[in-house]
Amino acid sequence: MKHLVFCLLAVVMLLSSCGQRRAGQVAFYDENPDSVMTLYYARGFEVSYFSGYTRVQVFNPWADKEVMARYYLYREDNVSLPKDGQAIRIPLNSLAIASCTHVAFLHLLDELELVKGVCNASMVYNPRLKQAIEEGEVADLGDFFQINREKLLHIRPQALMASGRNQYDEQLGAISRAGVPVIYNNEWMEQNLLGRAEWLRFVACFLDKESLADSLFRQTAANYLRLKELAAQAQSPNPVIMSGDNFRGSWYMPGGRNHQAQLFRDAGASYFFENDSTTGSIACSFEQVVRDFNQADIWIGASNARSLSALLALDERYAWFRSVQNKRVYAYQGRLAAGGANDYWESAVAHPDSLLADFIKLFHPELLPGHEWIYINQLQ
Amino acid sequence: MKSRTAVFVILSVLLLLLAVADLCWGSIAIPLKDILTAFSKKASAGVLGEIVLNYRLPKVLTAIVAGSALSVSGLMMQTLFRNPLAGPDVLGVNAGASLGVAALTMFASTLSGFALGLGSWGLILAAITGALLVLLLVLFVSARIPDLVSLLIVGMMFGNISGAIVSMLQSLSNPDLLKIFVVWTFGSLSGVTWSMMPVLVLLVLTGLIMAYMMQKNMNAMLLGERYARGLGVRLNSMRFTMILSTALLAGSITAFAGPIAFIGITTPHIARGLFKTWDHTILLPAVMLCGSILLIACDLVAQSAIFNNSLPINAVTALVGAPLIIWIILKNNK
Repeated sequence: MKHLVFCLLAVVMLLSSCGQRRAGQVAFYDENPDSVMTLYYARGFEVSYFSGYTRVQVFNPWADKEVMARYYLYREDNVSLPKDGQAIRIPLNSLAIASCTHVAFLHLLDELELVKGVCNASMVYNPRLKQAIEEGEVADLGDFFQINREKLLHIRPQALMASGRNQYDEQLGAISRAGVPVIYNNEWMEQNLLGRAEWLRFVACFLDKESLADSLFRQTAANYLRLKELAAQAQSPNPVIMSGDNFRGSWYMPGGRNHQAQLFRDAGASYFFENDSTTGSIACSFEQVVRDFNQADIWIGASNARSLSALLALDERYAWFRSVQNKRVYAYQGRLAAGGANDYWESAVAHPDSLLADFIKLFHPELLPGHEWIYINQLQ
Repeated sequence: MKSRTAVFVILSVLLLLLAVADLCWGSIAIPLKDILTAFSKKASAGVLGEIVLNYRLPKVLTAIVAGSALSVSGLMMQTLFRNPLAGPDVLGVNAGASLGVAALTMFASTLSGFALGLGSWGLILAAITGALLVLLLVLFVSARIPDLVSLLIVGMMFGNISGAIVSMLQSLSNPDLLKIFVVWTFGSLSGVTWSMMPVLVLLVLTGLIMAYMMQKNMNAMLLGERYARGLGVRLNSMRFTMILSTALLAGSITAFAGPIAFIGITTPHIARGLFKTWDHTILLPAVMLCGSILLIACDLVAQSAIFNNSLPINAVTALVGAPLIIWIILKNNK
């Protein structure tokens, strides 16, 4: 009996170790690449160059040291590739995208023409892509959570770019099995704004445009750092700000380690939760917000309304806030298209420097007299 | 008789105590001293006073109004259908209100790019319109079918149809709007501000007066339709009034506070247990008291500082109400 138990245990352990290996827990540098892409801020991916192919690994943002997806990019057919990843021929000749956040990267690399299908097409802001959708050149693949697989297989793009989620996604698995590899673009899980923007270089790998992406990103990063230094020299006092929005008593504020809070800090504002260590959002009750933020100078990100009167129509108690009394309420609605598309959710990912400039203009207008707001607007 | 008066007194005191507790206890700590200042010297109360007077006080009042309205409508439906599991939602009126809100948040956005400029009155009007639509259908059917069970089924089917359309709208709409709708379905007592209060109270009062006018007739109805007719009750007009009153009560609460589950079903059972009677002249005030107490108690749980952020009231009432019903059923079967 004892032996049987031991045997069973041994079998179970053997099986479980096999399972782990299949899930992709391998050492990262077990082979020697010719060279490795040096990343400045991004933590979510890694690019290594071997003779004849490039290996791109996307790490699982929710598990330490685990590879979420591995791609072997090749240019010529007669290269022998390792079998533990998805082989993709580059440069891509067509692509479907599941999120608007990928649009700006493709636009920067001048490869929007590759896009043959998008999810939630009504949410696309980019005028060029929008026109292509209206003219029927680009297919609307429906909601991201229930991608229209028939349409996708009909247009048969070389790959589908999608944001990874914190669970196995059977839908994306099925698409992958049907012969459309899924490129996981996890830019949204980076903690740092420049880290998010650096995913431009990830996208560029699939288009064979790494050097262009590198120079574009370095320019963005240099701009950002220059602006941050400028804000640090501001003479005017840092305004106290409040953020987020309320719906029937629940108010979500960015945590102190959230990239939003980083933006507030870099642009020279004082924020109640700046010393907090939360990376996500902090859920506050209406009472807490009234207590802690009623004296804030500026309210940024009031997304539920388009004007001050509409804001007060939602809840007359907003009038308690000093920011509302002084009409200093701002939203991220600087670029809205009919149908609800908002460029803030689309291109700001790739342009953190422009976003920072917007905030500096708001907090310390004397520093950037010539700057016009791109993403921010004031509620009238 | 004496013991009933005692129960009334005890319940009234309990209601008062809970109401005061709900004023004092919220997601932030406000010292009793500041609460008293808020009531005595309104001008000098500051921001904490604002919270007490304009946030917590209307919330407590809404809880009392909603608790009474839902309980009375639940009692009427249980009497009308002679079914202990009937509640304000059996007519499908609440589902109609949900449909109205879903249609507004999701359709209006595609038309204007933004639904939210309409404000809270927009949501309320949409809910009332949806509830009225279903009510008219139910009244139309009830005028043609004298059989109550059929009416029950028809009401539930209207509810299902509304639910199906809501699902379709949900699957077609974008995540932001979906969130607004989902949060609406959580229910909220704190959404009612002072400027909305008179409208809500007026609607509920009308419904309550209609219910009180029928209390004797409802007693007769307990004996069965034939007896009631023998006692001179005009059944058709009475059924019409009961449906109208229930729709007014449940529909307006759903419109102003979102859906709030189980209060309407549970409280008539509690009241009958406490007062040991089926007499509507006693049950009507009794359910109003019990419903207000139950809803304020649920709000205390929902708003308690333990959770930092408030819990959805609709979830708390269901968590409290469903086990109570199970307990009542088990107890009655012993």
